[in-house]
Amino acid sequence: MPALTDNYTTSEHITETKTRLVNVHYLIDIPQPVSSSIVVSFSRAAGINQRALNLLLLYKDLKDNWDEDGGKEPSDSALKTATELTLLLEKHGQKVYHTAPGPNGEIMLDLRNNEKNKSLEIVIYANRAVSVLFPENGKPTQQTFDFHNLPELIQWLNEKN
Amino acid sequence: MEERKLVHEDEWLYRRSWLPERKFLNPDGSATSRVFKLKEKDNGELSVDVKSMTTANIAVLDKGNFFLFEILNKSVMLIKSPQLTTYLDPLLNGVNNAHAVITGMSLEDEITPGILAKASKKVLI
Repeated sequence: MPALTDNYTTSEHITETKTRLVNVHYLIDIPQPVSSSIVVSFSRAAGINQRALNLLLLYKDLKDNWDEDGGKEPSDSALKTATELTLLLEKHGQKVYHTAPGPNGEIMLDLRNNEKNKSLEIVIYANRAVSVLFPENGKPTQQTFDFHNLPELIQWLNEKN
Repeated sequence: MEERKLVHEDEWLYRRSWLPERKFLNPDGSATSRVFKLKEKDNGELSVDVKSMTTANIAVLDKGNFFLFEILNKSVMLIKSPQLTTYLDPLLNGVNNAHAVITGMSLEDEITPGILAKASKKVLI
């Protein structure tokens, strides 16, 4: 039992799976519908970052000159890293406020605190990533982003002043 | 080479952005930092139009595919590091006399685009 409880975690599931029962009816020329079958379907409940993940899928379709002003198509590696980061943030309950493509092939993830007065942007290029901290007051700062820095960045974002 | 004229701090500037879907905007409808991000081909000069010298309908070119954001030049000039400056830069042959450029940003700068975006607001056309 200790081995079981020591290895137990509640954070493994990214999204909740729900079971739904659906009754399917066919209307034919008799007054009452006839129940022909019962379908059991499984649907994934939308996670807090589903919107961001949907946008990232949309950005995969952008091609060179997508902004009609010479914008480069988002790089595969930037999209992959952005998706991995979004899923990681989902797992830890951190909402991605928005994600947007940039003109140089980059993908930007915008994270905000609950009060929306601090933001953290993570800008992901093909071969590098940058984090930018926008405090409520004071000067923004930018630094090279590394996944190892993520916990302290999230802590900065959500800590009360 | 003719010296370029500075744009006055009280002028409003239009920045055009390709946004065929509202999904590309922030959820609150505001501009993302990417709207004010330099491209390599920009040679360090971010294109804008001087509002008093054009109209929103002309500046947007195609309102089905573009949005306009506006920002007060004073907000641009408040950024001192890097020092931003806005110059009038009419396009040749009178194609766009309202064209101007914001200089001072670099491609590596990820802070200034965010500051400009936060200081801008969407133009309803």
